[in-house]
Amino acid sequence: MELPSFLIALHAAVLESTVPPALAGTVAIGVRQDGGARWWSGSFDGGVRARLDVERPEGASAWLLLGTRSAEALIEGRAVRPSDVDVGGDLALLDRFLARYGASVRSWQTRGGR
Amino acid sequence: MSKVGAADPAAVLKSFSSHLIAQLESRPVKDDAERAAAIAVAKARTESTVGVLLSAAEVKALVAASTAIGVTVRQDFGTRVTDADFAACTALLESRALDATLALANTKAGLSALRGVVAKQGAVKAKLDELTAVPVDDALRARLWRVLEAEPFDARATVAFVMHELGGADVMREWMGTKESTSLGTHTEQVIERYAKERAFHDVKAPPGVRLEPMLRWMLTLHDIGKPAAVEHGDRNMQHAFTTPVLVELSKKLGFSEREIGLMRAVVDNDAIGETLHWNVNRDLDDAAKELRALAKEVGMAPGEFFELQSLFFVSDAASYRFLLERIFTTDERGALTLKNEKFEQLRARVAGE
Repeated sequence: MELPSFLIALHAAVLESTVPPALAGTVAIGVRQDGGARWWSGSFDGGVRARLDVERPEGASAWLLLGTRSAEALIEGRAVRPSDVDVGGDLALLDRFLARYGASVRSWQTRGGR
Repeated sequence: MSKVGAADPAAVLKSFSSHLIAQLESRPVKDDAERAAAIAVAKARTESTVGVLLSAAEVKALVAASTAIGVTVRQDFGTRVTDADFAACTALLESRALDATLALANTKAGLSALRGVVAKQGAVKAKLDELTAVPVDDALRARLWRVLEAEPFDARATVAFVMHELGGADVMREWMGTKESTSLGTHTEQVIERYAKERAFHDVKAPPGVRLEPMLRWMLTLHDIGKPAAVEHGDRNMQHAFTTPVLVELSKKLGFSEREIGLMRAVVDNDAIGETLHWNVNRDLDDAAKELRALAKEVGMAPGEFFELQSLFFVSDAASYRFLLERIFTTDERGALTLKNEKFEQLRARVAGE
């Protein structure tokens, strides 16, 4: 099974940012796939170190796991299904991560908006 | 895609893509020289970040082989962040026929939107704690499995188990907010009884490691467990948001495997067939097929096989409501329920890619 496109785009979003992350801890983002999951994780300690795993990193401070359809929906500019999302750990850190690398983009700017 | 053999650790490391960074974590090693050699080989062959990817099976083979020499090799990207890394990501997205710029913008917007989803998990979490608080020990686990594996299977037995052994009596007595004024417990029994009648007409193949019959019986027992909580919360549309975490947490505690839990979740947490056939919703066939194919991919099943399992669940659930049984089903010469609406077979064909 190939690496979910969402995780590649997520990684690109993290790479693209040139501002210091101002986060501390490890955030893991996963996509359920092929009866298991694929995980991207970023460790923040001034800089960023990212990695890819087939298991959730044991030391993750916060994690978010999406179903395949929600990961596909996100990259296509559609809404996720809330019941398809699992979270755990330090949710405040997770929220800061999502705020840090997310962007408030209006739908017309994304889905077919080019 | 890079090919990795499972047998020879050195071969595994050598074949590890030059476009991946092999990160070696210290572990107790058999031999320092072996470990040093492995690290040297891996480092020599790692230049950039993303490019060639390994399949899940290949990653497992790689991990197993590297463990054999006392180290763990992981795919890693971003250790050295460069413009080339970003370019590799966008190139990979483009290679999948995605507009990388758009995909990136959508992903950022999605990350932002996920903040709202995470914030709402609070209400669900409080209810989840209430429904999954019962302590589970080996004896309780064994009693459940005796119920689930009993032949002939008694629909009332699992509902009674949830009511009396898992503290779910109040939930099972609640009204589900549907047209028919049944309790959750009664509806659940009716669904399992319908399932027992229809089971023989569906050739459902289980993925490896899945204990199919007990899993299906348990899945049906909990398939609406969060519905009363959603009604109480004031939004019946949130039924899946309440049901899924309870199904997942209780199943973990009661000894189901990750794979079984993932499969139960995928089947219960979608309305693709119902929304396609519903006279008011009238969901687009391609959209519904896309969701079901994504779910099949998630659980590692062929799309057509997943559809068969999904349709067994749909028939068992929908036909338990009398008004639906009379309106959307007919009975064929075998005695099996079949759907009158031709969109059902059209959906099957699109999911299976026929």
